[in-house]
Amino acid sequence: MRQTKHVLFAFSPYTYKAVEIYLNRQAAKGWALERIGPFEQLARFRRTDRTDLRYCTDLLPYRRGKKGRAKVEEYLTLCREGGWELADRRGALGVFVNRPGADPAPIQTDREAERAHYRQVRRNSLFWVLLPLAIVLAYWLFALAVAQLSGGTAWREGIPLRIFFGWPRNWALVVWAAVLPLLILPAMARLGGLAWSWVRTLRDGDIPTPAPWAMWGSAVVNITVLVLLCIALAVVCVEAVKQGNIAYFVGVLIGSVWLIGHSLTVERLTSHPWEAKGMRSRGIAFAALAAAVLVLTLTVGGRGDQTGIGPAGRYGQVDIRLDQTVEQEYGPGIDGVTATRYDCWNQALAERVVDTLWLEAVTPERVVYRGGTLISDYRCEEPVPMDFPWADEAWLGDWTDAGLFGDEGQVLIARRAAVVLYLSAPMELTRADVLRAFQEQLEE
Amino acid sequence: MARKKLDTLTEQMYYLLLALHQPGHGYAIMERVQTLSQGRVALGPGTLYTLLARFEKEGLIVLAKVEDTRKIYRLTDLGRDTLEQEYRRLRRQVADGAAVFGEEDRP
Repeated sequence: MRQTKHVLFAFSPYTYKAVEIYLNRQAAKGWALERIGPFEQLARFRRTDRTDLRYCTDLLPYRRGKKGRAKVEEYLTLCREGGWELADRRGALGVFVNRPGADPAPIQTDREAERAHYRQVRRNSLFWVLLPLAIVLAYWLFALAVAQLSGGTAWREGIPLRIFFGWPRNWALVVWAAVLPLLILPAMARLGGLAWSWVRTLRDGDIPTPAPWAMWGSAVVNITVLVLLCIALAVVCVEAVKQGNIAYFVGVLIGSVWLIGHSLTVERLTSHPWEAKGMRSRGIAFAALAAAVLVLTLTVGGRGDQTGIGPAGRYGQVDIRLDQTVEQEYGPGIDGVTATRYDCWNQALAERVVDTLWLEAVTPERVVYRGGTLISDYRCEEPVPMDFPWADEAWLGDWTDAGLFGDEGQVLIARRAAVVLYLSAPMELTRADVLRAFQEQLEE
Repeated sequence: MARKKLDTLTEQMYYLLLALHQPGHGYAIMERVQTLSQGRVALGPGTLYTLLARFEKEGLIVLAKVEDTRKIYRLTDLGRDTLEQEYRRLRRQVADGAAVFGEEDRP
């Protein structure tokens, strides 16, 4: 028979009575709480022979400093003298166990005072639950405001969507923007719990005790979000370091660590009624700071023809006309094809642009018009490196289009430092006049 | 938000003030409440801590001295008046009840 076990154990302060019920059920089955943790999402139990084991939970103040610790110690001494030993505590949750042989009175015995206490706990919880929602909302409102200030063009071009679909595809921003709303998940779960608690209190007029399975659900949501956020944070940091943008890296790091830590733990640390006033003002200050960091790192940094999605995403896109001599039915003439030049903020970003262009070039495209007419059936061989003396790196690929107009041509991608040129045209691109035009653009 | 002033006392508050008719520390208060109520009323440590802090803030009790880290509280004049007012209120309530239920139904 196993002597220890780990169980999912995540609580919100307003469910502290559910924790008590759960622990007493475990005690009746012969399991004693050994410790809460790690990450406040698991608890370790061990077998016990005690038949008189009883648990009582209460919310403790989370106070720093000598005076604060003295207050907490005074409270714990009273509990000890009243027959309750502190088994473990995490943040605001204090788990007490009765002394062997003792049958003490519950820690809270004044129902009216306890109900008032509980209402305050619930208000504090609501505050901390709404905070991550407010931060995410602030980010999107700010993005909207920036877009509107830019004359609305940025918004029409879809700055927020550009994070996902625009380009260059900055994977750090894609991952981060996709994961950021995940912060809402634990908050929404807790918001649902609070609404349930509020309705039950109105109906029964007493402190509701949610079912223990609510803890497991909460733990699963929290752990999932925590893992996803950590992955996102790692991707963002790696990308930021690659791009050499330390300010961006530091900004994202501070904002992320705070958001992750805050959204998953602070509510549990600071929801004791005594904590309300000071912690709320501190919470608002931190929320403002985090929102500012997020907004600055993800939104500001774009000007003019830049992406506007952050310093790491700055690039300029210019369509250029490359004049060429063409053989026409009535003799040689001048025609033009349009190439695109990307002036990137740094070389790392230019390499991302190349990756994206390369992917776009090799992606097959098939367009069938209504009635079954095949308009386009584009396919491209993988561009192969080619030697251009004036470019740091270049690729050339052959494409065919078996559609209605049956065409074939080449795609050319070239990078010199932070400048990228892209050209796809139904012609041979290794011709001297085309290459000369390319060279001029790269060296400009 | 300002804390609501005490108009009437709950049973726990009443027994706490009653127990402090003589100065005492936390554990002694809990014991006295048990004795005074003949085991009917139990004062939990969490409730006791909250009420002590509240009564001290409202001037009903003061810290008399500290002995071996134990804080010993005593009633103030305001606390004594509050207790006596509550006692008289409870007596009137009992008298009113006696008038309805008859003398023999008095507790």
